[in-house]
Amino acid sequence: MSARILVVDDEESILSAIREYFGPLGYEVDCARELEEAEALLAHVRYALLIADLRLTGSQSAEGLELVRFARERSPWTRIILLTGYGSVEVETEALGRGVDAFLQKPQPLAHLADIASELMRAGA
Amino acid sequence: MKHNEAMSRARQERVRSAEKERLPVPTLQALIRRSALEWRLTFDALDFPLLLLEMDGRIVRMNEAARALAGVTFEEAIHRPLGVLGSGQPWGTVHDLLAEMDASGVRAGAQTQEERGRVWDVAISPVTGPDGDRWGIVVILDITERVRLQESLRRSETMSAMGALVAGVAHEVRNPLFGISATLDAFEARFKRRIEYRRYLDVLKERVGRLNELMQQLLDYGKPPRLDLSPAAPREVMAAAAVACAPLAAKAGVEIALDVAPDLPSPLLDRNRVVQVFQNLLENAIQHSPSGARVAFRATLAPISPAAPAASAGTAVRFIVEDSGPGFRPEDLDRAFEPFFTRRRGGTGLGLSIVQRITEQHGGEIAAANLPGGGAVMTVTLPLASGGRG
Repeated sequence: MSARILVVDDEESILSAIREYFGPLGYEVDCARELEEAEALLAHVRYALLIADLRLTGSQSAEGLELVRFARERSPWTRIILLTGYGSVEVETEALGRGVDAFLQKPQPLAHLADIASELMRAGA
Repeated sequence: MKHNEAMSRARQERVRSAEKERLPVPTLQALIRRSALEWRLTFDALDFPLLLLEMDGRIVRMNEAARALAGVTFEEAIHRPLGVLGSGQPWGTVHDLLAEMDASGVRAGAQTQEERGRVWDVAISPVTGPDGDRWGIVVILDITERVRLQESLRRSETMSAMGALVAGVAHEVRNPLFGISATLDAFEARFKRRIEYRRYLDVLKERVGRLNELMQQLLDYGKPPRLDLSPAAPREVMAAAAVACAPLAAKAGVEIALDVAPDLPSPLLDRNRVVQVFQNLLENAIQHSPSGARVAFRATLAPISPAAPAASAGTAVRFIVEDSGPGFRPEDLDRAFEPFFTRRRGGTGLGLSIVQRITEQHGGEIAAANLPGGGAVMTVTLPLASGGRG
């Protein structure tokens, strides 16, 4: 049985690298570049894990947090890893308060990301 | 002020009553002597130097603060040329300003710094003496602390603007950086058996690691000055930094020796940021120490600033990191805290800048120096109650 992951980032190279890396580990990886696209996928597909960037589409807002709110409401079984280029303690606290399972700084070795992913899914299973 | 007004009123009454009563000469002389004494006491009570000069530079009068600053007796100075007060600052400036005022006929002023670092504001104004001759009245103010605060404020304003810029840039760089490092990870996972790719991968990963470290330091440097203050025991904060540096110390064969004065009070600190300060200082010390050496990390009670009066002694905790490495090059001491200034290969040159920034955010002071016997010594003085400057 392969777990399904949704990766959301506006950086194409990140999406393709995570897909390539996680594929051989036995995950089925979907990618989204924008908030609306990610919400549409979350509403229709049962994902075990969501890996999202805090900021999407280059905006200054924290669209990642908006996505977290949506996922917590519509897809409570999905574990969530939030990635950020510049996370303040305040944003991290808010993210964890909204039900994010892990809050990580970019860049992050994919091996580490994979470890956390498998840990979260073991705990969530 | 009230005291002076009262004195002046009392004097006017005495003069009036003297006129009314047509007091005998000896009584008038006594009143005049008394009045002269009152003025001298008033001048001497002022804590800044005050001098009255003739245009040729001879000293008519000076107050106690001026006498103490010059380190002479009144007998050695009164009616003697200005030169008897010494050749250093602020006296050199007084001399120059007297000539300037003589030429222009109006007030002259300047700021000057003496060798020991004190900054003086010197002003000389023309007055007319009792026989119609021109005199100059000199006021000398010690503005060392004011200049220091202004400098600190200016730096902190520059830092806030730069911090926002740097944080924005670091974020924008981190995204593509993650794109690169993730792509490298995926490439490595797929081609890990292809030995001919190894050396390319190693170089790329090492470079990405360095860029990442630089970004992390830039973000630390640009962090907003909001501090999360709470009382922190010096020993605990120092130990946390020492533990964080333990792997590096072990690798370098260097011992970190903690020496904390007993009964130290707990200053108000942003603990995590101060741990970072100590960690940066210890890492520097370890990196510059020969194998088998020891890095001393001490804490004692201290006055806030070396220039602070003794009355405020014990209002700060001083942390000292000493190593037995080569020390700073003398010409580098002034530049040690400059962003991006480093002599270490692979160093970002931001470590000490970050340390300085966090120290100043706590209203503290930091100094870099060399030990007489070789080795560098870094001193961080943090006030018990943080000034919380931005």
